[in-house]
Amino acid sequence: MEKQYDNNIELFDAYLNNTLSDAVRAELEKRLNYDEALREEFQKHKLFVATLQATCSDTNQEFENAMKNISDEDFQHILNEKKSNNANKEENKSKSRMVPLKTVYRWMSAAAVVLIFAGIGNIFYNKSKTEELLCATVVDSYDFNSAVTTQISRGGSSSVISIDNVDDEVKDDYKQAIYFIKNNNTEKAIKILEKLYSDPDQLQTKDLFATKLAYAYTKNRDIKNATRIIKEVKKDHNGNTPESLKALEKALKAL
Amino acid sequence: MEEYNQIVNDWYVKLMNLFINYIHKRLPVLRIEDIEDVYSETFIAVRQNMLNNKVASGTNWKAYIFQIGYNMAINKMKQASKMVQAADRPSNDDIDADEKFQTQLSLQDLMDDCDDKATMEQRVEVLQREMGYLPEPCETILKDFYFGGFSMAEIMHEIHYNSVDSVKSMKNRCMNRFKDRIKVAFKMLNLID
Repeated sequence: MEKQYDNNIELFDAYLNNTLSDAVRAELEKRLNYDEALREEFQKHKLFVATLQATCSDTNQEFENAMKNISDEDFQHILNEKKSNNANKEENKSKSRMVPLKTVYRWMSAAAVVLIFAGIGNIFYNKSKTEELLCATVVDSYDFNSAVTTQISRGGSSSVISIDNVDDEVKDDYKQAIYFIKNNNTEKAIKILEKLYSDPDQLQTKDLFATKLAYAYTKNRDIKNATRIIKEVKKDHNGNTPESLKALEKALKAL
Repeated sequence: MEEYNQIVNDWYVKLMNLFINYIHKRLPVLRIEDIEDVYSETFIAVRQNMLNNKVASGTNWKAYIFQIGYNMAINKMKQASKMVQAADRPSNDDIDADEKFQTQLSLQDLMDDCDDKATMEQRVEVLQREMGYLPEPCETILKDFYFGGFSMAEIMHEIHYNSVDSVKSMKNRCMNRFKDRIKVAFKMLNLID
């Protein structure tokens, strides 16, 4: 039994899943009969699994309700927005969504209106498309894997800011934020990083949090806040930009 | 309304990479772009089935999305008339040999079996509250494994780990850390000695 399962959790899971051999199952059941501590541990494990499953069922129900109640338009918007970054693909799709007009005259008058608005709209469209691409480039080129290893160089000096020396709780929050960024859940990441960034007890690691926060805002296409963070950090550094934020600052300036 | 958008959006984003890996592993001839298309088509189909009451309420939606998606991916592959060499594909046995947890336990039964129901209810309440604070990747690992019915290999792709063993050991660490927290909470509330 010991050889096959590294610990009781795996053994219990296999038992509950009915994947134990007859011999191992019989042996475990025998032990559960006379070993009170093991029996208690098993009951607690079952309670944990059942509670977890019940909690997940609630989330599951929440999803079902949301899927049933979301409007067609909003649902389509989510699919289109996330589907692909391929600009041509999106353009083709928007063309296919155009409603054809029936007469030549209506075509001509509509075309005239479209041309006027397209001229105005193009300015905004190009800007937002450029912003989108630039943000994506900056964010994609940033190695969030190394970010989890948690240190950045301080601009203009050789010292290094490391997350390794902070409290476990802060470290966990930080790692969770990085996880959210990597998994495109930037809003949750921003929430955590804003808290860490504005925490007066974390002055030593403020630049590190600021860097990740600015990237998270950029990834979230929130240029205004990304720029705000960079400005605040620069103010802390007497107008100098830390090394870790230079690339981002340059990209944002280009917008 | 805004809340519905957020929930659907969260699920859509959360499952995307896992779905792509899941299908790619089973049907490697499909291009990633095709799988992305299948993914959004799957969401449309799942929603349609929900609206038409074709699926029982309370279905495990994550598992359902993957099942529907897999069927749609196979259809897409057939439509594209791509010849698939059976030998190139991992067999279902290879994929499914990995450990999965598929048992559904009834919380109500466990509570009913307990002599001290009040204490048991309090314990469940504490457990549920603490689960809300599960840090990542613990939340993903534990929920995917015990509720989603995903294998360790599938979870490994989702959380970007390099090996199944490291996911397993992380799962054990998560469980042990969680147990410690629960123990402290139970003690503070005098639910255990």
